Amino acid sequence: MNKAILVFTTMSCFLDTIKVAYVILLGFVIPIGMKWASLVHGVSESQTFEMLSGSVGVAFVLTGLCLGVAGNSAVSSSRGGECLPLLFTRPVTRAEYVLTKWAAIALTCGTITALQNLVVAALGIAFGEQWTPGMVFGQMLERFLDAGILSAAFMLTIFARHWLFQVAAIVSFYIWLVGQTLPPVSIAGPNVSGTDEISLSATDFLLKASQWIGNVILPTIHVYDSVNAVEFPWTSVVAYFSTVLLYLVCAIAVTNKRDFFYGTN
Amino acid sequence: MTKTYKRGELRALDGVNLSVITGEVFGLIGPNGAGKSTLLGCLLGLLRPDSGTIRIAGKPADFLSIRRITGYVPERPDFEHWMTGRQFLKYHHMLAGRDPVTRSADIDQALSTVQLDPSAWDRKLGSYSRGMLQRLSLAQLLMGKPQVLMLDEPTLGLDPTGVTVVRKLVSDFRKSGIVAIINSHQLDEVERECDRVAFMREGRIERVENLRTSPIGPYVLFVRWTDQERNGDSTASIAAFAQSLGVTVKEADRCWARFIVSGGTEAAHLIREIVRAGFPVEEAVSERTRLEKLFEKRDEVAADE
Repeated sequence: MNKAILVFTTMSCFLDTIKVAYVILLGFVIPIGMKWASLVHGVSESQTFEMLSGSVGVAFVLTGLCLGVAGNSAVSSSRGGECLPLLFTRPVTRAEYVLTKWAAIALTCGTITALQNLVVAALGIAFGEQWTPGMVFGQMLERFLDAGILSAAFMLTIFARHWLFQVAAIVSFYIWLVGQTLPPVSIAGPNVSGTDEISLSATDFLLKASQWIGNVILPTIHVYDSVNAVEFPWTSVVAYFSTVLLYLVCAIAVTNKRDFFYGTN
Repeated sequence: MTKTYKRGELRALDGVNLSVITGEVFGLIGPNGAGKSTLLGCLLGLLRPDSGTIRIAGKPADFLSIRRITGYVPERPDFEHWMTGRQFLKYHHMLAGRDPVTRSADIDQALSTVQLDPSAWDRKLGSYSRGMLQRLSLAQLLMGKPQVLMLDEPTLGLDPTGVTVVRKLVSDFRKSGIVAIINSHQLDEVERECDRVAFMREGRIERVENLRTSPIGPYVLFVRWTDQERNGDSTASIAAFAQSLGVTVKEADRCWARFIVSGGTEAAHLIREIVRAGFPVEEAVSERTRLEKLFEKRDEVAADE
């Protein structure tokens, strides 16, 4: 880990006002506002709330951070800012750069979303909801784990510049996102046909694709459930850590292979 | 060394073989697309050659021990726009692994050395002009205590004071025995600073000139004198006088002439004789720099080919 990169990447998260506004809005104002509203007015929590306080919420915050932190000005060469050639003339290995950048982004994003979960839990407790410390801690840890794997996937997508890989990665990300955000389908009658049938088939396809991507490309660990399970699900732990490791190793490999110079791709 | 782009379609460096010795200031010149920047990129370990090797102090260019002694001024000062000037230098001071105790003093000293206006030190880089960014780029060079310098168009975008700063920096570095490689289109600057210069074209080094010794060939010497004290036709007399010395007059007027001289020795001899003949010489200057002449010669060769 490189202290300079860690410090300045974290700093960059909070110095771009547009990004900060985006993160505050999506990370705090909307989900906490929704929780507040549901508690005050006694309505059930919506799909949108679940989404914004779960792994998709992490993805939203990460997207905001990465556009300012990693995408344009600090990671990518030839995309707005060309900061990397000069940086790589310093005594810093590319592996050190990738790992430090990943750690900084994952920790920042994880902290923001874990804090959001903590506030939501505190609100719930204040309004009489049943929360145990284990549940709160489990949710917060899950946000760090989500941030870890999503950041690794983001880093790989930013560094691996082959267009086919980038298209596949971005399409996969959006299918995953859509699948996570689809509301439960309740229009199905006993004999659906026509547009309803097409709509149901498309929804079913998206959900399955999203589930597959979630399992294979972005596996996660449900911390609270795992700890309380009769048998600890080691396979999900192995799947999670091996995927993160794979993404980071690939990101380092492609970064080492790439030319970083002005005007080169 | 060779380096290609676009999967071998574009040959940026084609059989480059070069060595630069300790204490030398070496220039790279050539037309756009000649491969000068690519060569610098390879020397910095940022570009990987297709074949061939680079050794700096006996080690590959991308070794961390070599990066610790390498300083680079990029052609494009595209820096993190959200940082202030001081933060940017702090970042590079940390990246270079310098002592945190001296950080603040080192940064202030570097900013003063490059004469960046103190009011800009704590301003965000997004508000800097091109010239200010170039000065900051020179300041970051000083953050690493380099012994090998790679300067890519170091005077680009600088005002005359800034150009003087670059000259002073190179001069100071030269005194401390560093190696500097300068890529520039400012031929007069290259000629002023460099000991040797490589002329590149189409990815090849066509010629390496020692600017301290080797002659560049015939060039035009412009001489002007005051004519108040002289009687008669200066134009005719200077032409006859030059002819007696075996020098060709390209053009002459009442109070000036352009001579074609074969080199520095003949130029010195001619000026001495003109003064001795009673012409009150005001100025004598070669109309083209030696490097311009070199460019010209290369173009002639290319045209012949």
